[in-house]
Amino acid sequence: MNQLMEIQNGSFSYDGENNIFRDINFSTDHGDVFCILGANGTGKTTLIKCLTGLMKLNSGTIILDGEDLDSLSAVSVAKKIGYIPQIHYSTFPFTVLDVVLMGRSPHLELFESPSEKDYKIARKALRSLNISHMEDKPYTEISGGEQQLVFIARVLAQEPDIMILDEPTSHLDFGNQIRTLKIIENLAKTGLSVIMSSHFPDHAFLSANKVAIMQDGSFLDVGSPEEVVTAENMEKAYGIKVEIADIHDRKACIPLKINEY
Amino acid sequence: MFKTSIRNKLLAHQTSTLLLLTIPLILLFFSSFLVGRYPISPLEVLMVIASKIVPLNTIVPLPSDAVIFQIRLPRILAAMLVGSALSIAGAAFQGLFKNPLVSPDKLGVSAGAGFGAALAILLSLSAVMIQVSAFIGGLIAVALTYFISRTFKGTSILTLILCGIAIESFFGAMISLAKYVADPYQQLPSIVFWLLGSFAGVTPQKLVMMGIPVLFGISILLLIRWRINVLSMGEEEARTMGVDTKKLQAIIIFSCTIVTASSVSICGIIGWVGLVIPHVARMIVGPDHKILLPASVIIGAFFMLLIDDVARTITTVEIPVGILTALIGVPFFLYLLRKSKEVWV
Repeated sequence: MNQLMEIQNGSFSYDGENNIFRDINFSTDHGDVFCILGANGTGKTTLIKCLTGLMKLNSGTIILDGEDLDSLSAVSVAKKIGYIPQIHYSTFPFTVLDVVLMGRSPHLELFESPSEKDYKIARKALRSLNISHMEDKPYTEISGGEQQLVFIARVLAQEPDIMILDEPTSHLDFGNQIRTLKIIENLAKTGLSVIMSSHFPDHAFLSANKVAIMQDGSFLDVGSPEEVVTAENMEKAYGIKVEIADIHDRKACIPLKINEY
Repeated sequence: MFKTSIRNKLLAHQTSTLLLLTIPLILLFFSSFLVGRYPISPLEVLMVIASKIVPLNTIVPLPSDAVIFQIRLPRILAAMLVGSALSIAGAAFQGLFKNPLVSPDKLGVSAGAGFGAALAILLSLSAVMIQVSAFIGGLIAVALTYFISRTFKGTSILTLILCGIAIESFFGAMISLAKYVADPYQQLPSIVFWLLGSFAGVTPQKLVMMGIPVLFGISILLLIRWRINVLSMGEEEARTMGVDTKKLQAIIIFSCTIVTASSVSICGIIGWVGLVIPHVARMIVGPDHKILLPASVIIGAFFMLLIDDVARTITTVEIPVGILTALIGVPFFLYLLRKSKEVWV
């Protein structure tokens, strides 16, 4: 069966010699939450950028809904993939509603600006995340957690099939991390396919149904969270000892104290 | 669910704000006919203008007609167009470069145009040819900036600015060289005076030559203005939202360059307007480029016309507007900055 997105033997390098990542294979479909784990500098962000079409693979292919990603225009890709970068540098204090409206741009012509329909879609996205009350606020003056919700709303207004997030929880406090994961999980239930990178193995248990661990530019292991997030894999990937514990209805990945210095 | 939709409410609000901004501009436009050495009464102005639309049997003194249509009207329109052009270009560039400190001459257009003019003065060309040469000089400078930056690996908006600074310095040096070799009694003063900026030499012909490209460029910028919002969120984010960023950047740079080069070519280098008017507009209408760009057009026209009226009246010998824009604009801007709640990061 055809998957929504599939990457086959994907490799990338800046100079043609040293691969940032190589031989990456995986696929995701509607409703999947695919979580990419791995230490700093293993190439997660580069892989994410290739998946969004921002960077091109040196070899291998990415198939998006049956078509080669390379052959698609920016507009066609944007209608299928929404993206939230790890860091956003803001310049102008646009209102929250204006930011969410920007998600409509792949559906508008070059000279067009948002119509009645686009406003409706944008406000629906805000409502679905319970942030309608802040639509007139400058997005630069709300908290990091709220800003993350605004960007998710922008992706929803874009109406893609896939949402790709680069470490969506890295700037958030403890509570907002978990709330964001819950929102991601709920969105996946509506059929959205989610691909995200994360620094927290535990997040894989909380929201993902597929996990990959990246190490030195290739996947150490891919599969369900239970199969992949193991004490052995964690030690290989991060060089620390962890214990995988059963807590209530789920597994948890808990680091152990480091004694050897 | 809602009696009037949010979009219609916003649109109505934006339209009424723009209309409110237009009222002082219209008043200033008509009062500007009264300003100048040759005294003309408001009634005469109305009669002269009306006589062009409907045939009147009243006797209008001929000199008034000539002063109004040959001298004052072109000058008023030129000042308004230049103010609009520099302001909208500044607003668009600040969005493009994600930097509110950018002015429309950041890619070298003014320096290039200045050199073009200086060269034409050195060659003793006519006033019209000086304008043409300045326009071409401005285009060449920006084309150099643009194409040189594209030869670098990993072309980003930052390399574009860096190339712009380099090209600006280069043409700055070429202007100095032109001044150095110029005949110090005739050419040098002309070059210096040209660079200071003035609307004194505007003729109907020069106005048309400059007005057409300016209106063309402004129209394009107004058409794409909503996309500048998306672009100002960052190049990568804009691309993932389906924006062909390279193309949009090229359209913005092209439009801003032709409006700025045309402006500089008719009245010399006028700084400050393109940097500050977008800020003034942002304080009034907010950061959304959909309303910011038209607001910049209106406020820019008002400001430039006001400055030119002052330049014409304050002293018996006209002060170059390039000097006055800063002398009047700086305190005005600082005053607004103090009053405004807006904070720039």
